[in-house]
Amino acid sequence: MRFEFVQPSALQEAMQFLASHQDEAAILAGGTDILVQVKQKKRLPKYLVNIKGVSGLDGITYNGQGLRLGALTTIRTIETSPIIKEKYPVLAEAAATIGSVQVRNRGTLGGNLCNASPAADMAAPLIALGATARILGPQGERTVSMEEFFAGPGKTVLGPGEVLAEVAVPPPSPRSAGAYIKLGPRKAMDIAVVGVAAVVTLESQGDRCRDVRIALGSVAPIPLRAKKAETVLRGQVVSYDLAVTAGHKAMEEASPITDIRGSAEYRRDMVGVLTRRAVLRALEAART
Amino acid sequence: MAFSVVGKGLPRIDGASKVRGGAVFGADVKLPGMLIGVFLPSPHAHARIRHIDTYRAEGLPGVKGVVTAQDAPSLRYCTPAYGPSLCDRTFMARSKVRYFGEPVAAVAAVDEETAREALSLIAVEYEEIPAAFTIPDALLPDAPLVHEELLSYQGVGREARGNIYLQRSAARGDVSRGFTESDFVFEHTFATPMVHQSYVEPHAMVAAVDDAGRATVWTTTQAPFNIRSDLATILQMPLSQIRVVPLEVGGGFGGKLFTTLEPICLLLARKARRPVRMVMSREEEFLIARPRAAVTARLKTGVKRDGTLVAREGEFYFDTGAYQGAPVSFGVRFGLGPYRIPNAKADAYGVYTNKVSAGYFRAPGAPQVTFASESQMDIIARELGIDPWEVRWKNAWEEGDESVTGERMGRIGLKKTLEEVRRRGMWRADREVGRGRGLACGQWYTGGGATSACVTIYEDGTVGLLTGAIDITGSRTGLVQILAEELGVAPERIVVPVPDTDTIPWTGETSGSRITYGGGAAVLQAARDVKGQILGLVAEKLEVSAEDLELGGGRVYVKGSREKSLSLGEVALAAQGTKVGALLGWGVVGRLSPAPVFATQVAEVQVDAETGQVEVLKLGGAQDVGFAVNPLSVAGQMEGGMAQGMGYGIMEAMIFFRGKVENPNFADGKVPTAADVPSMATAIVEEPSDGPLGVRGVGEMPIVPTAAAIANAIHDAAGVRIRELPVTPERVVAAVKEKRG
Repeated sequence: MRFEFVQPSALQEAMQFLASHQDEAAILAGGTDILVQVKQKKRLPKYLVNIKGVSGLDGITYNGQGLRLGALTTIRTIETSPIIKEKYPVLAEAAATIGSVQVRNRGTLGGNLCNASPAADMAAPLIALGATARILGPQGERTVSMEEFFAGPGKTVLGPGEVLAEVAVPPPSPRSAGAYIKLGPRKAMDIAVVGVAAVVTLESQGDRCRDVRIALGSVAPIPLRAKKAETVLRGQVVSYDLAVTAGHKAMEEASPITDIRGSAEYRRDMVGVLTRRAVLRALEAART
Repeated sequence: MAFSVVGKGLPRIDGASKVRGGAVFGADVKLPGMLIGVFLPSPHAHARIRHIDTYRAEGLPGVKGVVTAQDAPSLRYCTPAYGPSLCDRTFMARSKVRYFGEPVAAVAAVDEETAREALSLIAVEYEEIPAAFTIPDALLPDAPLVHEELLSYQGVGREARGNIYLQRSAARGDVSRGFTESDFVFEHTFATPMVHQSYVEPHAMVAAVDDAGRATVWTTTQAPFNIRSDLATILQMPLSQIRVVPLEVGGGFGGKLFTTLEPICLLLARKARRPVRMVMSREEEFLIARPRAAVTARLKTGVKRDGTLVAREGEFYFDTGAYQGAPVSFGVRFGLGPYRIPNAKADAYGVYTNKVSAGYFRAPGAPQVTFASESQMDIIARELGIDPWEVRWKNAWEEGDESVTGERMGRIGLKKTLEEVRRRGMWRADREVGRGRGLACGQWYTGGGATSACVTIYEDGTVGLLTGAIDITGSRTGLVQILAEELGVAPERIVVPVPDTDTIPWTGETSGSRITYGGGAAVLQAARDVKGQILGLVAEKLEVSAEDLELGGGRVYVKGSREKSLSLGEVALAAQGTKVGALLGWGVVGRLSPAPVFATQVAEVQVDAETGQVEVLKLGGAQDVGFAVNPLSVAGQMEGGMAQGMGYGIMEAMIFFRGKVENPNFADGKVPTAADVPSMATAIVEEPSDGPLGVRGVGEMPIVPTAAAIANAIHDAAGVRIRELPVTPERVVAAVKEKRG
């Protein structure tokens, strides 16, 4: 493997380089995915553009407008951030399921999302939270909802020279809570066989579900929002049986494949089980 | 007998250097001018090699040598130590490739990148031919033959036919009459997958040839002397022209018993006239190293209503892959379980398939067949409504019982291990909903290969121990304890450099949990030898009788009078001026009779019936170790074995698609992480053997029953019986679905 290491000091410089070497350049942030892919010759970029030295892509801010996560924020930071644990515990919960502490210390949010694995553990909870991606590029800035950010396995909507700068999460509604359930053979160092995130918001009073968002990982070419399952629940008092029905709807929406990590049949079954569990767990948390 | 050093849980003497990074492993050896060697793996599972063109590779700047099978004599070899002596193996593919990944050519170059680029320039013309990927495929009457010329191979047995290269059988009594006399007969088939040992350190070696043509190979190995003889055979070199230097082993588990790339590495060094290093990548480890064989087992068992075994018949098919190496005979020896069975019959078959060649992995053969045998014992107990513990207790071997192979039990600790799991509360009746407990017994043996050891006393009173016994488990700490005890010195006063094949006489490989047993006997003999010399010399000096002397605290005393003494250093110094010269004790022991080993384990699990996920909550094991020279090491081995057994039970498997390993890495080749390993309890049973200090082998035994105990616990928790390893969530869910209809 041989590549040229490019170290831009400013974002503008990085974007220009990426724009002029679009098919030959890849971004290096934490390196936990790209370096493995390069070593395994699954990707052979001519240039690796290290953006770790670029300012303005790091950090967590929280205010009345919600949460902003710089693309270079490490997974470990998300896992351990007091404000995230308080306001968006589902994100910390999902972050904690990724790799090992060592991997989480290197890996970044932007990398987890831009690698665009259908199994990306941060994707499903961010979709369920209604997050948006702020994208910077040669043509300026644009915002894309998280569920529209992915275009296929390993593909995002990022155009030539474009960089994911930041992920914005709206402020948590009162009486809302989320859950992320990841299925894998091990307790650490694992890739989700299936992952399901649900965020439930209750009416200000009572048990009726004002809004719900469900996202599925590893069961479609992209992290998938399960809209039909949401429709079953929205505006309803969610019983166990209704959660089961939502699970069945989510199973219909999923389009899993068979690979060495699991069969399509098992994955589809698990979408049903995990959707029900995630919804009920989120519901329970939203009540308290 | 009161001991002061043996029987104590001393920390490993090699621990600190390994933790700090000072220990030297295969990949640490660096020589001036050293090249990097890489091999070209076959892209086909079964194909004829029409032509290999290395011309372009040789011309690439930086390439110093390219070799193919043509660079060595055309011959097939086997390693006699590992029997059977069926010579079916070539060090590199010659006229055809038999598995995906089989080395076809190799390159040495100034760096790895150049070497790999050169590989891409080697043109190999293949003609793909039909392949046999699985045991059923290979046993079909018109199956493609993995070795068409099997019957012409040196050492081939009369039983060889088609893809079956080996059959081992044993019988006693009359099984068909036994089944007729039984109240119930159970028959089941079980399957286990191929799994890799997953040691942390991959195979790594450096080869160099000096001006006179003498070769030195530094390598990570459990068997330096076997590598030396394999190299001599393969390259047709005189044995004395080869020196093998064993290095620290970063995990072996049997996987480093075999010669892998050493002949290729040495050939490259010879051709390039420069030292060459080869280190397998993790993927290459999965492609060409020597994993545990897959086994399909059919067991038929007849019992009385009260659970007494009347007859048992086992058929064990070992999938050896492309070359022989599966531990077939152990299927016969251990497949029917450690039970009194008046009518017994066991047949084990070695079957070729177009997959990587299997080898040995911690208690080779036993975990596979024990999964079958102990799962079925559990089925029988539950069908008869008898406590699974009781069924084992009723049938367990005692002194005087005989196995199907005619091995007569001496004093053995099997029933004591059963007692122990109950006494300690590992096996008990109460349980919570969704949880289950499973029990399994297992047997293994202590191998008795030859060992050489040498003990010398330095002038400063420190003691040097040299032994050919390679340490893969911390065994050198135990050997030091045995020596320290015998010579009355502190263990810290003993140094244990690792000798090579030039500096220590022949010693058998580290296998069969034998080092503290055979190695211990050699060390004890060497210690007694040097002790005799010390006592003789001191007796002369102090003008007392040798019987009146004793050793302790690094000194030699006159019994009862502590004033009259000499330090060992003074004795060594004194020896230099006498006709003794140097104090040097030798211990060479030949083959010892194998000592049987037994264990009983209990697993406690929680099963999520909807997702099929199994959480192993607790593992507990009782094991007869004869005598625990180092109880800390013994407990460590037991815990390590159970952890590895747990991986085998619920997650590990090499997944093949048309002969190609689909998960040749640790992302998808799952082994448990520290977070997955449950709390473990260990109970040491000590029923002495005839060996030194009464020890029995420890290292391999604990992996044997674990997978069966877990599968039995899963049945207890979820009511489903999974007869194929690993018990994955998907298999549990499928079984639950099937059960519900």
